[in-house]
Amino acid sequence: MGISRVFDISRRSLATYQKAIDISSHNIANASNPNYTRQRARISTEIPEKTAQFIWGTGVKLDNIDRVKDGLIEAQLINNSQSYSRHNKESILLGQVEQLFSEPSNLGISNLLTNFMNSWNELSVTPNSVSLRNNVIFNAQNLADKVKNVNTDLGTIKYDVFHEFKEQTDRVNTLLSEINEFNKQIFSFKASTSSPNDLLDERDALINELSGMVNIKVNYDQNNMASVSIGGVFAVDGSFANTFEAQVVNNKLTLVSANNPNPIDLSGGELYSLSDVYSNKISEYQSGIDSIFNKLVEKVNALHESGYSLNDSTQTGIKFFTSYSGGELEINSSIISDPTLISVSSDGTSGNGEIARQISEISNESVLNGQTLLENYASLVSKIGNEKLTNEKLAEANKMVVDNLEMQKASISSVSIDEEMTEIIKFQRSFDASAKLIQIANNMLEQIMGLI
Amino acid sequence: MNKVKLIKILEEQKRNLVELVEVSSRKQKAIVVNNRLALEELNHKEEIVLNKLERKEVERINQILILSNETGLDIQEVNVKTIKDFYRVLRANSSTEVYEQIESLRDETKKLITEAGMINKQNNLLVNQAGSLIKQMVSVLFKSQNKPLLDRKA
Repeated sequence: MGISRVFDISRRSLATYQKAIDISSHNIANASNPNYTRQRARISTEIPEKTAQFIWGTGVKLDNIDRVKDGLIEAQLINNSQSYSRHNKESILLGQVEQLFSEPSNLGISNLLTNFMNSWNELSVTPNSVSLRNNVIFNAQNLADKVKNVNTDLGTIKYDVFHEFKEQTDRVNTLLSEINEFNKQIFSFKASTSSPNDLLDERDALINELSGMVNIKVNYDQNNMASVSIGGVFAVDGSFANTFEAQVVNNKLTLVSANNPNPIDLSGGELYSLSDVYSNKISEYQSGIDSIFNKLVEKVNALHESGYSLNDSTQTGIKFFTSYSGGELEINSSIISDPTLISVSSDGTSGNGEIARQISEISNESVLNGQTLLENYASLVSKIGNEKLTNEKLAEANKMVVDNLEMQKASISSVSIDEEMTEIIKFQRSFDASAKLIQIANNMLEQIMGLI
Repeated sequence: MNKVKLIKILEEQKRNLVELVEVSSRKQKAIVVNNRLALEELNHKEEIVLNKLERKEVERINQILILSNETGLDIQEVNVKTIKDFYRVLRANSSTEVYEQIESLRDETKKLITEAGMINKQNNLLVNQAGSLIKQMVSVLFKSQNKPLLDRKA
């Protein structure tokens, strides 16, 4: 082997190891970057040269710079992030819904409905008392105000949910466009032997963010291009980024692709929760309240209409509630201005409070779904609480899985400066030993050669 | 009888040198691919081979002294000059067949030493480069840590 060849090997090896240092420096510089994936130089031997007698090694070359990552963990992380985001968001939204019912408290519908029923009971004992009649009206107004507030607040939450859904859809479109741009840049490296690891990291971070917002499936082709679909509908690849918009179709809030009018099947991520709360949960709770108050109006009015008022010209057939619609419980305005129109006498005689007694008894009757009105309401509130709790528990469970996966990912892909240092020191010791042995071997070989 | 023994020693030494060449070649690969565990294992093997080489060389020198006495050469010490005298006298006192066998083994030994020397030279370059790499790396790591290595008290 000529000395020039030795220097050539030396030059190439030095360049290779210099590159390895650069990679380590890059790793260390990104040690605190959560989106960064540790990189590793893949080094191999150059193809050896054959001479008449020997096969000479020709040194070392840098094959590629690999990203140290586990594809299976990444895929699991995407799936579990979708699930975690979905349950976490839903538990937050249901928490807001639960709060506006103010149960259990003096200000809740449950207590106000009980007060309303009790006021009828008190009136049945002293039917001619105007103050007790005013008390019935006062309690009815309190109840009507609370029902209206609950319905208005549910409407506000629904409105906010819709706008958040729209904002998140805009963010989804932005992320898809950015992923498309990264795909294009990554594709431009196709001809190069090295892979654009930092661009891949940036794109992975975008895909992770997207997975928290909506259910996605990701596939990678041989050129490292990511192809993403949302609920089975094409979203982005290297050549095109689809756009989506929020639409209400048949009272259901959903995503619709710009080039396909069919609603997307949402099953994960925050968008699913927003859609579910908007389309199903709030409507279901409103419908539950409506059933209770429609029944209350129906039962109270039926009894009240059969009773007789207290005023000079005894009247009958008067409705206590004018209507209940869209969360508004309207009390007969004539009664509000003249409490003597409250019809509590069953036969028109003064001092008869039979109708008031019967109205107060409504609270003990199973008038809806085999339950009393209060029981129906308690079931509704308990259902909201349970659904919130279930989502909270599922979110906690998913969070544990996500945290565990993040830890596993970190143990593989994160940079540990201490680890790099320890590894280097181990190398140093091995190289020192090698250098000494080479020296000993050279001395011995020289000695043998001299005396052979 | 003692010439046969010398042949035997040369053959054994040749086998040791073949082993050294093999270990050194594998070591080169281990250095190149940064396989530290393989490198440590090969360092250990090389140490064993070098010990065997040393013992066999002592045996060979002793055998040369014995043979030189037998042939009437009064060699007190084997060196570059006396070894030449030894082989000249050995040639005169040996059959062509035996001497050619010894010569052949000497030639093969020289070739193996040359090969082992070349591989060692390459390994030396690689180890030196690796050493400088480590120095740079440690320097980078210290700069990035920006805190004492041993005193980690926050």
